Amino acid sequence: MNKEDLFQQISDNVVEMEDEAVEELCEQSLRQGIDAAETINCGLIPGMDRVGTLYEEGEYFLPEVLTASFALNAGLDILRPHIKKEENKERIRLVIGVVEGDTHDIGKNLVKIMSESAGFEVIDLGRDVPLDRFIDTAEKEHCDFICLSTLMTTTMPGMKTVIDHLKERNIRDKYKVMIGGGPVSQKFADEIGADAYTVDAASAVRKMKELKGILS
Amino acid sequence: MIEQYLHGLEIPKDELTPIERSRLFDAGKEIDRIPCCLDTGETMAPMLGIPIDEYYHSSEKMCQLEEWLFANFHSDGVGLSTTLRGMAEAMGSEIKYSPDNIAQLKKPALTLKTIDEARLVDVEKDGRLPIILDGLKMVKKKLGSQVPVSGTVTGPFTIAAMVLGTEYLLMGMIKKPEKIKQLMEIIVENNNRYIKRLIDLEVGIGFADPVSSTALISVEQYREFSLPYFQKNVDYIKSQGHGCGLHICGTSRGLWDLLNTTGIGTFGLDNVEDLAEAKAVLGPHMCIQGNVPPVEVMRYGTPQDVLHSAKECIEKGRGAAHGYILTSGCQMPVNTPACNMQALMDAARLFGR
Repeated sequence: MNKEDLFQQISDNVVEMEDEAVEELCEQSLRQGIDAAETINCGLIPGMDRVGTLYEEGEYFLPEVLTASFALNAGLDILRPHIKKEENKERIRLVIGVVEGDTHDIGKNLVKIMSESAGFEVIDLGRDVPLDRFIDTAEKEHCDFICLSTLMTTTMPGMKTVIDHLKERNIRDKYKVMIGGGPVSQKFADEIGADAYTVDAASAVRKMKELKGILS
Repeated sequence: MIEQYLHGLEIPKDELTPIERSRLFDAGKEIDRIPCCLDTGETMAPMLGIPIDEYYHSSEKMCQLEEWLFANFHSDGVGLSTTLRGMAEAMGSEIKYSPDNIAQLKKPALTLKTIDEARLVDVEKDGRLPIILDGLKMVKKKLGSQVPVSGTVTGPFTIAAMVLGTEYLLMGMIKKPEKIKQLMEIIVENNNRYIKRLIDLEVGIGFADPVSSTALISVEQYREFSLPYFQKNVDYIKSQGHGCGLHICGTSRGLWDLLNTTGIGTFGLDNVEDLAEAKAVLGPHMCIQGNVPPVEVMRYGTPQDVLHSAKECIEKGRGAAHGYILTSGCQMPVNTPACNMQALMDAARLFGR
């Protein structure tokens, strides 16, 4: 199969949520000697972008996005070990997680998926994350953004704690802090001094681009 | 006037007890004021110094909290909930309990590959179901002559989310629809077994079904994977000569036309939806209740904020064909100030005449 057709089929199968077909096609791309990064950028990610658009247009709902992202990840798992490392390329890097005390992570996962398909580097700390781990990871991995998520009111104050600790360590200005989740609001973001609140994953990605001045 | 609240403003006294008000309300007769139900539960346990994990495992503490809440606020309803995870725990899910936070799903009972192992529950033995039923029995005995008592059960679709994990339920609808439907049938039966006990205890029945919100699934997916099973529970309740209510957190507008024909008696809407629209669409078919924001207003607002918000709700809901009940848009969170709960009750007394 020529390269363009293969990329198109990978993209289509991500949209169609066919994880096994995506896996097969990604393996085929490696057999044909196609650069893994190119397959990701021209096949998998355009597919997930189309899924994001379908979601924003109300054609797809969460179940479709999750199932498509499952197919995306199946492909990424095959291709990732074959990516040639690029150095010194300017990228947006973020650390993301659900704050300590909370294990609801669907919203966080969506932001992660959408961010990855926008080409950001995402360090996912998972759920129920000790608050200082966000800061330690951001420092160690030279992140641009710290993204905090929670569905529970009882764990919302943890978001403020992260910001307070950044201030105490005199590194508040090094990072943009983004918050999101069911009970969180712009009002709360203002109160705790977060840089941004966004209502869903697509707007989170847009906001990060905007804050980095790369919004097309 | 709202500015004078807590600074000399006189609050009109209730003329009826909650049970008297409820009976007249159900009969469509005139009452002294709009009913107001505080959406409480485990999140209020810390007000009495009860660690939330202890509350979950003690019928006595559950009853103690309901008695205390009723004595202090005189809400128009009391009751106990299976919580969103109660039935799933009885079906084998592992739940994480903590003293200062509501419970969370730790490990789902089943995976998409093990749905055949889904089990029928024994409501006398499994999980916390017997503890909650005992608690309800106590509450009914202590308070039943003064105020309507109800048991909240979980909508079948939300139970499935707690049995499989929400993400796997959502993906399962696409990858293994028949297996999901097989699971839903078992859940319907489990719910009916529990509902039977609620009917025996002569308490009211309400459903909470947040995972059916259109924030998570499409109307078509609701119609295929959630509604038919909810309907089976509702039909069972009606076959026993009883009625029930439903609350869906988050967006639900797309589902309202479908709900109109289910035969439910009450719908409680989240604060993200508009009460005036609910009165127009759902009002001709059922009682509506809502929807003061639980986080922004009840938890983080002032008593004045509560009065402003509740006044707006009452103005929108008043005059609904099958009645309107003032409440918050969802359960009030941990650390909701008592003065705000009092203000919500007082709003019904001030503006609900």
